[in-house]
Amino acid sequence: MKKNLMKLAGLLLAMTMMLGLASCGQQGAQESQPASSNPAQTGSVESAGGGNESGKNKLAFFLPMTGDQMQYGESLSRGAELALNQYNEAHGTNYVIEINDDKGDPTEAVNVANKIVADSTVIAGMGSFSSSCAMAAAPVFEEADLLLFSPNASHTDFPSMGKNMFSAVMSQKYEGAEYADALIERFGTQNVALLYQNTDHGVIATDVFTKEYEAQGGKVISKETFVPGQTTDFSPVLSKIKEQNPDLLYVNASYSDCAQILMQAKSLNINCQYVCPGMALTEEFLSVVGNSIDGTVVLSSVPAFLPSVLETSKLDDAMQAFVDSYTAAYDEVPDGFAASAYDAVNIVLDACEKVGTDTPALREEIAKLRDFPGVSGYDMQFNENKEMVKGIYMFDIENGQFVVAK
Amino acid sequence: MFLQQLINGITIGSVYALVSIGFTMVFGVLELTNFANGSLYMLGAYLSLMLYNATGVNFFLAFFVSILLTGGAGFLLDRLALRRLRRKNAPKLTALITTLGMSMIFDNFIMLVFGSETKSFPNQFNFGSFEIGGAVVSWVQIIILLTALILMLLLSFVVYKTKVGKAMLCTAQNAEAARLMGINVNSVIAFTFIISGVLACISGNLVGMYYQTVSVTMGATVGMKTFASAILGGVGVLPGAMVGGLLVGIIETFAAGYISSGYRDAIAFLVLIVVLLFKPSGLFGSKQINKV
Repeated sequence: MKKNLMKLAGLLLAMTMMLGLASCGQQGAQESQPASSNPAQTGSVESAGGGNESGKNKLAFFLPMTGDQMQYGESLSRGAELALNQYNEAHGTNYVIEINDDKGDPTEAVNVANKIVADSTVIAGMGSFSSSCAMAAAPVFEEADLLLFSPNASHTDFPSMGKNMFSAVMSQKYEGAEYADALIERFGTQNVALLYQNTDHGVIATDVFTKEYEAQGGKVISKETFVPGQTTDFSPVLSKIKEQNPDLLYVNASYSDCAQILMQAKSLNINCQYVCPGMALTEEFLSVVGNSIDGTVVLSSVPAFLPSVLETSKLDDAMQAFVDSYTAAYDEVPDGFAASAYDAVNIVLDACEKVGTDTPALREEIAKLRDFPGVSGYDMQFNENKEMVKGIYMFDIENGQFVVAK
Repeated sequence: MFLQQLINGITIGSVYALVSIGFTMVFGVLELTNFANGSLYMLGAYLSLMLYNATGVNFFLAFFVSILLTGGAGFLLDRLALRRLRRKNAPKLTALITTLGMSMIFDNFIMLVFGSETKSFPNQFNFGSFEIGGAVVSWVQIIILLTALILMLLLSFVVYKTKVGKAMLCTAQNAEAARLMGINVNSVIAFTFIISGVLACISGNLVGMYYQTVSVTMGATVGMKTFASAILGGVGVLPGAMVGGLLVGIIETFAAGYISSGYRDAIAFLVLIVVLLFKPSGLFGSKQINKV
């Protein structure tokens, strides 16, 4: 008996570790903007001698085209392709793109980056889906003095890794601050309870949110965290929040955890305004919550092209044209990733047309981007630290559908 | 808040109790850690959901059919994999690894058919909730607790008072001797697996209704706690599994509510370790060979 127990205890330990690993793996795939503090790796570089004016016409993408992030790579590459074809047609140019596969693996990203900088026809490297891959590749591009424009890297540190690094999506720190401002503008300053997942993304976003919210005169009365994938039962932490009597509950979690948390909050009679981030902007989220949490506000820095949103609200013309041509080309509605890649290609090519393909001129021109009317956001611009800043969107959940807030 | 946390803890604890009763029975009879137990729990919930969506007629009919099917899956688990190993006198570890393999087959089969995203689950016991002293109690929570209690009593009756139960006790003590005395050991074991499948299915469905969602990983998240509950109560003892489940649920809820949500598992397991240090056979376990 005793021996058996010992064995069991050993197994328990082994299982805990396995589960831990498994949940780590899941997180990366679930988060819409995975972040990583993975330190950048330095690779040996063959210098391509950037700076020649002629013969450069290629945008070299590196994306996860295989592996467990491949659905994102697919969206990004489709958005990029569409943008390129339309740009060439409209301007009579002959730019090309090349899609390399980095498998979502930072080591592989470095290899691909070395291959890209060795190609003398490349204007800029474009990648990757995950911040970890983009940040691993960044030193290679910096050393070769070639532009690296990522369609999706949202890690706070990415733009400051070198003078050639840009991203088409808003850095996490500005996102959090703008969410705080948007909430104050709509509801006034209130007592806010925060519940966030204990990941890189969750911690950064919450810190930034708190700082901005309190600077504007609001009060963060409770900050609770949880480990994603550990449990689906959030009632203990929600009961604790209920005690504090908040006016507003802001949940930063993946869509399935968000759904679970808000439904449990509802059944514990926590009567306050619920808010969740753009990760929840999915059909799956709606199918889980139904109309049980109507009135919840969803904040996002990327517009939603979900059929339900398209039905109830009017997009601006550029976005509508993008959605139409994407749907015609690929027979599916685009997502935020496709939109970001579409904008990334347009921003880089616009700059090329203006100042040529010389890297220093190019990066200066791109850094000057102001009020760009993209399809992945509005008022897109780079600030003095060349970090992407753009307007955010606010949605209300009404009758189990996302509706753009007035 | 104390009362509310206690109620939260009892609810989640009843869930652990339900699943660990099935687990502890299999362990009692076979001395086998059945890793597929959590998968059966998930399978049961998905089967009801599938049958309900496919026919759309009556949820309770779907529930009932799914209980039969999950019991059948438990039977097949034993018939197809474990019985063959027993016949060849394979070491216990082989059987244990086999249950791990079977659990992966179940999980991946469901993932293949349904996809890996969280699914919404109909709550048929949606009778609302009421407040006692500022704490919210829903009827589903009461139903879960009552079901766990009733099943525990029912199974205790079966195990200690009926012929089948006595055969189980005999098999647990010494399978070889039981066979010599004319007990059909294989059918006793098959019966045990069917019961554990049925229990897993019932609890999977109740949990699905409580959270109104099911996901492929739901089995993995309760799996660890199920082992912990069974060990805390004394492996193989039915009331022990019940009490163990409730205790683990309450401890982790208080840990999450009063200390930090990140430490809920750590504290639950810490308590388990401390109990085992002082009473290695668990709270209700005796040093005698007294299993099932």
